[in-house]
Amino acid sequence: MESDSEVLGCSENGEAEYPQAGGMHLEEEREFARELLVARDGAEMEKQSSGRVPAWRAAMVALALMCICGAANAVLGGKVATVAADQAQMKASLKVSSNGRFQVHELQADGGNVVREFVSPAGDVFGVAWSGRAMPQYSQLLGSYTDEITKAARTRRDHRAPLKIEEPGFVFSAFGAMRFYAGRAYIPSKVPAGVLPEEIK
Amino acid sequence: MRGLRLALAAGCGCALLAIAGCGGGSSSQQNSSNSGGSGGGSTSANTVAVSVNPGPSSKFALTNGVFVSVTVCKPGTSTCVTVPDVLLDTGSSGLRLLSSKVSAIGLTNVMAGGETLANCVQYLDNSYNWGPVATADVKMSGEVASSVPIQIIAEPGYGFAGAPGGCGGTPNNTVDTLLANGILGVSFYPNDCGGACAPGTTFNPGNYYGCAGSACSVAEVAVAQQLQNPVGMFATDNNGLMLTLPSIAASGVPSTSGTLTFGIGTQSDNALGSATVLTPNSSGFFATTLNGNSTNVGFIDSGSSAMAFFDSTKTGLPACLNYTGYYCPASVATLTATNKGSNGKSSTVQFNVESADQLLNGVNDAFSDLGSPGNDATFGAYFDWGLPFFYGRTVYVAIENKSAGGTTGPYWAY
Repeated sequence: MESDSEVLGCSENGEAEYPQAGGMHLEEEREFARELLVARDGAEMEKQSSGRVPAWRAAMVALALMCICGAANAVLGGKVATVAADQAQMKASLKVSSNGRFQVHELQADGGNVVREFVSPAGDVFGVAWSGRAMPQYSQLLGSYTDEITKAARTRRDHRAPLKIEEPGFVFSAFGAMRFYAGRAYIPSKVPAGVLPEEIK
Repeated sequence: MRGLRLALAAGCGCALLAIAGCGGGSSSQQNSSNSGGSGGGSTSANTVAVSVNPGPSSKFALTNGVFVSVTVCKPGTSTCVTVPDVLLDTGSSGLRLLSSKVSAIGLTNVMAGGETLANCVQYLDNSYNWGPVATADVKMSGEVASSVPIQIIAEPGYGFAGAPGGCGGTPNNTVDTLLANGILGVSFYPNDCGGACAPGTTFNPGNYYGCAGSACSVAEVAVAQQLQNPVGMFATDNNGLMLTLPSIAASGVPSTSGTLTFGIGTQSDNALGSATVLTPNSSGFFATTLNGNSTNVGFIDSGSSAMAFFDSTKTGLPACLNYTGYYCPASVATLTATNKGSNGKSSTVQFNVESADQLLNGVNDAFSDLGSPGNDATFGAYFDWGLPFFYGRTVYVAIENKSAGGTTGPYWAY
């Protein structure tokens, strides 16, 4: 059931995924409150679904939750089952490959958008990489790590610019313009031994 | 929603009175009944003055931001407002103005299928602009573009106070977060999204939403209804533009001014001359090589504050200690890069990079030698020729599918 509860875990990482209330504008606070309520509803649903949850039902609930709370199915740092949320959000096809050291779950959407999710033998999504016509929805793909981007942006003198983050707990790089975007992010502590950063792309 | 805005406009009684006291509160707003774009700093029928300065925020300076004034009017009327300090951005398409700067004239929102059309633009730093699409006549110098779809950022009414979930991050919805009163996107694309956002798309990037009250969902929008690059809709001189900025001192200057000229090869003042034409690939980029490092993601963007390229391991330029995100060489570094277009033409550019910790630690705001590490060496590379590239040059941007100076756009030339 672990994977099912991961899929259902709309609120599991939800609390951490929202910006701190301090410093938000009024409209953001309203949005924050609204989303938080929805996330709690999601938690309620999770409690009620006792016992085994059929995979089809888990998928449907995951889809429904994603529509409602969007960001709550964080994939980076989550379990492999969270890939399904990204697949649904992108309406993408999924191709899984393995080199023995890690798996690559490649999501391919129409129009050339590709997201690759890197999964360790322990089942953790330790990295994601993307390229294509549109920027991915950071909150969907990076979950609570999206806050690190916001924090890094505040320290920058330039605005709306590409960012690079190299912290012990989070590495992020994204670039692009207008009709092409690419980027990648990974969690160093979850990268399997022997896997090089340049392999996460 | 629309009713509220009309009420605001009526309550302000702005039609012929000074607008300074109502709505936006900007003393530089003015009502303009002429078609010449007052406040646009026009020097001839197809040119306007541009200024590099810290921008309109009293709290935060925008480094290397180049600004213009834009006059917008209710379509077909002389009810107009001139918005100063609009960021001129060759890296995007479409006019986006803060609602507070245009609310006085009561522009009409675009409706599609009974819903209000709204636009979302996401930026790489996880910030965004969100707001309804409205139509306006756009006037700069003697040029007029009629009924242009533009974005009204942060419309205060019901439905637009909060962006939908798919349009997320930090909002650039005030002067102090946008660091401008708006953005004038004048890239070589005639619209901000194109076929990908239009009916029949196979992958909709989600730039457009239809809103019924506060319920907004991703919409497919005909290309002509999307945000348009106003230059492409001018009645004349509509095939592109040229931006000319003067050379500036190596350590930077507090501000400087230049000229934006509309049209390429359409008037005596906008000949392409001997400029090198670089055409983009299908993704919108040229190739750039620096010291044996190359990338297929090279572009010229007046909306970027620095030249952002490769990283310290590739360039040998150390990152800054204080101003993170910039290069800080111990002494001035002179670099040479080559840009090569899809048309096979290439151009070699020599440029300098100085320590941003020194440059940014003073009163100056315009810098020709500000560099930034763009990405990390273990991931894909790019080369963003930001505003520093424009000093001491004339840069041409030709719009897609329009003949300009003997070559069909899209292209850059300099």
